[in-house]
Order: sequence, then C-alpha cells, then structure tokens
Amino acid sequence: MAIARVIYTVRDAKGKDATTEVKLPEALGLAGLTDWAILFATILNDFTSGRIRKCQLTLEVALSEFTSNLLEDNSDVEEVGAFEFVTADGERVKMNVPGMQNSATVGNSDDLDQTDVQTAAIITAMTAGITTATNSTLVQPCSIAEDDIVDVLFAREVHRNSGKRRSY
Amino acid sequence: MEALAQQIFDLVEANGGRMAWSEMIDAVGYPDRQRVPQALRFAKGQGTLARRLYPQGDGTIWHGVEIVVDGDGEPVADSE
Repeated sequence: MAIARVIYTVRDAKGKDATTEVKLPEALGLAGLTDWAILFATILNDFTSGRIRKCQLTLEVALSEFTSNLLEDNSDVEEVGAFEFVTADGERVKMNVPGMQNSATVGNSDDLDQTDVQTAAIITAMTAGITTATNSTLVQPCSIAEDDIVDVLFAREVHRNSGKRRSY
Repeated sequence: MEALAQQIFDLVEANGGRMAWSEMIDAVGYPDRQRVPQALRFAKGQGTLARRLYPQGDGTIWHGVEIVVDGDGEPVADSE
C-alpha cells in the first residue's frame, strides 16, 4: 500500500525549526488526508511548546510499472538541467533536474537545446500541461500562488554539489 | 517569426491537425529548427498552435504540436 507523509514543522522561541512526520495510508484520498493533517495539528499544538508553522503532505507514487527507469553509464546527478519558467503574472518558477545528459546542450554553450525531444517534452509538460489518462483532464503545473506556468525563460546546464554519496 | 509559425502550421495542417515533435523538427530542418520554440510561442500567442502531451495507454506519451480549433471544430487560424 502506498503511503502519504504529513510533515509538521515546529519553530521554538529561539527561532529554530524541527520537523516531525506521520505516515498515513494514501487510500484516504487528498481530502481525507488534509482533514486528518489539520486534526492532528490541533493535537500536536496542545502537546508542543513550539509553534506549528508549516504542514506539508507528500504522496509516494509507486514506480513498479515504470519499467524504462534505467540507470545509464556515467550518469551524474551533479550535472543539472536548470529550467526557469514564468506564469502569466510574471512570477518565476525554477526547476532543477538532476542527471541531465551531456548531449542536451547546444554546441559549445551551456544552453539546453529546446528543440531536442527530451528537453522539449519537459518544457511542454511545464508550460502546456499533460492530459491525464485517468480523467482526460489537462493538468498544468503552477506557481506557489497557483498561477499556471505559461512559458520558459531559460534552460541551461549547471553543476551543483549533491552533497551525498550512496553506495549500492 | 510569423513566417516560421505559418510554416509549422501548414506542416501540422497537412499532417491532419497534429504532428509529433520529432517529425515537426525534422520537417522544419536546419537552420530554422532552433527558432521553432520561439515560433511556437508566437503561434500560442495567436491561439493557432499548441504544444501537447497525451498518454498513449501503453506507457508511452505522445508529444507534439496540435492545431487549436474553435467551438465548431475549425482551426482558429481559418476562422473569422
């Protein structure tokens, strides 16, 4: 069974933040999970001396049927495709995709080739949305203010220290 | 830019109203292919062409360009 995580951030009198999380069955659905999260925030608030300043809900998506999800030789998550999008109101939305392919840039520049199929698909998904299979609804990514993303400002290669190394 | 947007529109129209991204890029060819994103931005502003992604049910996603149609199903570019 897939799970959802409700993550609460608590701030103390010294201004320090700490988090605690609760796992719930995803089957509750978004409305049920949200209800539960708010109810538990009330309980948590009575318990903690700090102030609850954030409550986030994350859903884990099963990738078992995603069979093309393969690891390529020489892939490197520190090679990042950095995209910056914009909403109709001019609000900027950044997205950094780790492990970009070296062939994705144009010539000798660090600009991503926006005509490449793989890069163009990301831009289309972010600026025009994806029509979902489940209910044929066009779902469009948005800013934190829930404004639809409408255009890409730039897409380029950057290098960023991942800070972690895991052995297999 | 308007000329390239019209060229892409004509290509898509000749292809039945929608065209896969890779086919469209190949059909435009060098050197104009690098200006395709800007041309599509222009066409989007005109309301004539739209970038689209549709799941195919077999795990793949169709990605391409589609002519925007009005309420009567006519291409916006051809309607009054």
